[in-house]
Formats: sequence, C-alpha cells, structure tokens
Amino acid sequence: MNEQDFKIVFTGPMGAGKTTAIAAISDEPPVSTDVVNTDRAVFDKALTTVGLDYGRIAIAAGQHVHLYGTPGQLRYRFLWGILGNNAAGVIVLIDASQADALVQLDAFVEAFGSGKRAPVVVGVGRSDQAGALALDAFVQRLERHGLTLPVFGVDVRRRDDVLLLVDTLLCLLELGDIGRKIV
Amino acid sequence: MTAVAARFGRIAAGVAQRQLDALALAAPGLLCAVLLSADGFEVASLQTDKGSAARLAAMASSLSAIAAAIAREAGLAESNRMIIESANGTIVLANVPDTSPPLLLAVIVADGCVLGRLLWATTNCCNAIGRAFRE
Amino acid sequence: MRTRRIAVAGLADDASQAFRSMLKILEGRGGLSWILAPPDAAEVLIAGTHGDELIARRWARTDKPVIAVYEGSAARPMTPYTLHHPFRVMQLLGVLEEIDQALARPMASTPRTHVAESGTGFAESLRLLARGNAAGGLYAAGEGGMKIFVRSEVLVYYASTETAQRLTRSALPFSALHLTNESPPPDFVCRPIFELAWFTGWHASTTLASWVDPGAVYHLQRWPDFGLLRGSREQLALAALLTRASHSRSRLIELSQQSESSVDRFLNACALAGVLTVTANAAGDATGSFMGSSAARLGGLIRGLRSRLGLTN
Repeated sequence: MNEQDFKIVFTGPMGAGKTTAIAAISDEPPVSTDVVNTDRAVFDKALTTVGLDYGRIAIAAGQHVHLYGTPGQLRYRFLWGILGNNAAGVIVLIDASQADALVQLDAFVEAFGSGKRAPVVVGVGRSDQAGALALDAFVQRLERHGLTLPVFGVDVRRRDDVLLLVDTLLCLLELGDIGRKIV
Repeated sequence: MTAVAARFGRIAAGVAQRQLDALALAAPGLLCAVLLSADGFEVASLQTDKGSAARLAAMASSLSAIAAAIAREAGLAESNRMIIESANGTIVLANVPDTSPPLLLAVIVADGCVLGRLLWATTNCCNAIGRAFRE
Repeated sequence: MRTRRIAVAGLADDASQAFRSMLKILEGRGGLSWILAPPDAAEVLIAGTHGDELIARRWARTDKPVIAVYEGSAARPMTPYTLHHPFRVMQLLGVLEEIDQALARPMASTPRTHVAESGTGFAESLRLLARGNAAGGLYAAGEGGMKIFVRSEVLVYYASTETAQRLTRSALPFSALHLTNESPPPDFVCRPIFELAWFTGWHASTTLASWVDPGAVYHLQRWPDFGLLRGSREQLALAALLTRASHSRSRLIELSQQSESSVDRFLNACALAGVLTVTANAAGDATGSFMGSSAARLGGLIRGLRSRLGLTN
C-alpha cells in the first residue's frame, strides 16, 4: 500500500451488509471471498464472507482509498486484527433485528479500538423491522461504556446511506487535524 | 456430538472420521487434520483438541477463500489446493471435490514427510470423503 | 460545602427510593451536597412519567434543568438530561455533575425573544412540551390538511406526508401547539418527534434562537441520527467537533470555518432536539487523539475521496 493511501474497514456481524456497502461505493466490483453459508440458523442467507471483501476508490494517479470488509463471525476474529491494522477509520454495521445485536455492537466496537485508535462510525440497519431494537438502544449501550460515537439508522443498499457513513468518518478524521492545530 | 456434526449428520461425520484415520496411516509425521466446511466449521478432526480444531477450521476457510479469489483475479480456474511450507513442517489445504456444501481438508505434518507423499495421501483422502458425502 | 436543591416528581416508588439512597451515597462528593427540596424551592427537578404532571408541566415553563427518567422501551425524552431506570449511581453522578456545571455559569440575561420570526412560537411551544416528561394529551397546530399533531409522552408527531416533507425544507407557518380533542386523520403518517424538533429548530431562525444561551460553552450529548435527518456535511462536521469537546459559539465558528448562520442554525436545532448541553467552561478533548501522525497527510486524500464519491458541497 502506497504511503499516501489509506484504508477504511467495514465490519460487523454476519448479514449486516458489509459486502453490500463496499460494493455500493467501490470503483470496480469488489473482490469477495463469499462461500456457501451452512449456518442458516444464525443468518438465513446463501453466501457469507470468510476471508475479506476488498474494494478500491482511485483518488488521483497512484492514490487510492482501500475498502476492506471483515468476516462477521466471531471465529474469524483473528482476521479482524489483521484487517483492522492501520485502518484510518472503521464503519461498524449492525443489524437491529438480530437478537444479540447489542452484544455484537460491544464486540465489534471494542475489537476495533472503541474509536480511540481510529474513528468509528456505527450504521444500524433494519431498525424499522418488527421486534427490532430502537436506534437509541445502541446509543445508550455505547454511552454505558462512556462512548459517544455516531450511530445512524441506515440501509446500506442505498448508496447515499453508505456515503453518509463514509463522510462522517472523514469529518472525524479531519478533526484529528484540527485537534493538533489547537495543541 | 458437536453442533457442527449435527449440521452434517452423524453418519457423514463418522465416515469422515474413518477417512482421517486412514490418512494418518498414509502420511507419516501427520500432526493434525481437520475436515471443515468452506464457511469455517469443523466437521471432523484428528489429533487436535477441539478448540484448536475450530480455530484451524476458521483460518483454513479464510485462506482457501482468499486463494480462490487470487486465482480468479489471475484469470485461473478455481484453485483446488494450497501449500504452506515452513522450516519445520508443511500445511496443505485441499478442496474436497463436488460436495454440497463445499468441504475442505486441512492437514499439518512435521518436517520430514515427503511432500509428494503428503499430497498423494491428501488427494486420496479428499476423493474418498467426496465419494462418501455424495452417496 | 456547597449545596444544591433537587425536587422529585412523578418517579415510580422503586426509582424514587433508589434515587434517594444514591443521593446519600453521593453526599459531599466533590464538595457538593444535593439536598431534597420542594419543587418551588429546588434548582433541579428529577421527573418520571408517573403522575405529578402539573409540577413537571409548570417546571417545563421555566429554564430550570429537569432530569427526565424513563423506563423500559420508551423513547428517550428530548431533554439533555435523561436517565434510564434502573440507573446506576455513577450515571446519576454524571448527570448531576453536568447540571452543576451548567448552573455554575453566570445566569444568562433574560431570555431573548424573537416573536416576529416565523416558527418561533411553534418552536417554543414544542420545546416546552418536550421538557415536560409526564403523560400528556394530544397537541395540535396548524389548519386543515396543513396540521400537525404531537403526542409528547410517546415522542411522535402526526402529519400528512406532504407536511412531513415540507417541514424538512422550511419553517412551518404554525402558531403555538395547543391541547386538542381531535385525533389525527388516518392518512397522517406517524414520525419521531426528534425529526420535527430538529427541523423546526433548524428552520426557526438564521441567528441564535431564544432557547439557546449565546454566551455558553456547548457540548453535544450524542450524535443526532443523521440517517433519519439526512445530515449535511456542515452538520456532520459541527457534530464531530461538539461531541469531542466543548466549545463556545465563536470558537465553533472559528474551528469549523462555517458561517455564523450555519453554526447558529445547528445550535438551534440541537438545542430544540434536546441533545445540546451548556457548561461553564471549555473542556478538553476527552476521547484522546487518534491517528497521531497520519492525520496531516490525510487532508488531500479526504478531499480527493469526497470529490470521487460526489460528496462535494
């Protein structure tokens, strides 16, 4: 990876839309490592990511933003560290209709540094579904850990929603600049 | 019975276990072997504790999926085998042919096992498991 | 030792008991003692949804802080100070410390009023309604199809699809909300009151509204749901600044390099939506500085990425 490049990591549990989100903004169709999902009890979908998703956005000659998606299942935690290393920012996608969504929020936010190593933005999907947790439940969960992270209700099938998450990440990154100017 | 064996059936898991036993005889120096689904669940394992079999299954599935993506990127057909060589041992990840859901075999041997013999034994084992799972 | 007086209204028995025993635990902490007082003599009210509606409603008409206690899956009340029952002593302490700080700053001059500005009467009535946490009825404003209903205790509003869209774009020509016996027509949509409050605040005025203290130092309690509100770049940037540190209005304008009016509108919206708190003095960045050396080199990349993604202004 070029000195000038940076990477954004999309993470979150299985079925939250990481592959979809990367596909929505990548220049070219992303590289994916989807395989047949045999764990239909946890999430009923045909394919699941077991390696990584990779997309790219060209900025200028030789300059790129790299988009990495992690596998969602806990057994792939070893990859979270590898993919999260040196990330400029992390987008955590959560599915509000999954029963253990709050536990998942804790696990992913903590695994990716709780916003202290690199900014973290949380996108919550399917919060309008019957039985799903309200968005505020996620905000409160983070508050209990003393965290004030952006938590937005999104549908990652809409490109605009993915862009909102990325733009928020960029605003937080710019703050790093401002923070240093103050000091 | 593990939850994972439950997913594939007790009989299939038993067949796989017998094939892994046969592999141990055919590949001297075998340290451990794990049969896994492509999405990283252990189906059967040999000479390894359950915790490390589960971790090995997850890692093997990731590596295999990334290897397949690299092969596609290079314009090659689907990859079917991956070899990791180190100073004191060898790891082979091989696809079990034509199973649904797709299965992989991960084999770790100590230094000293001839690579050709290891690959031959692994291929035989995969073919036998493939036949058994298709029946 | 300093003392502050707090009154209790409408708390369920268990919450009330928990609160009283927590106050004892916190006695003298940080040189401050919180004592219970009748509502009229208190500086702060802690209020739940169980009765004592009149106290809460009367309180809402003052500028005294109210800690709204809510339970179960109820939506979070639109006041800056909230506690979800059951709460822990450290959570209570956190809220009390914030309020103590807010009270410590010199009293703002008498509230300024901009009666002439369109939407302010409606906005002010919405603000007062949201400050009262007790069970209320249905409130309405507007005429005919251009009518809006607000149900404060469940934090929703009802409007026609057209009105709901219109209020995101411009101030609604409404006068103050009033109690009504009518019910919303069946074809009206039901939306979160946060959305109504946010856009009402945003469109209320291009200068600082009467409900925002101009001399204060501000902090954002939490990020508004910009997924719902479709936040602009300016709003995202201001929210990022105010969630990481506390800033005065002038400092905020300086740091964000945004116009006075866009900063004022942002503060108006945040305050009306109940996510803005004021403190006595600017507090440093509590989250620590991530990124370290990498931030400076990112500037060009961030601009480039925005332009590639069509995120330019």
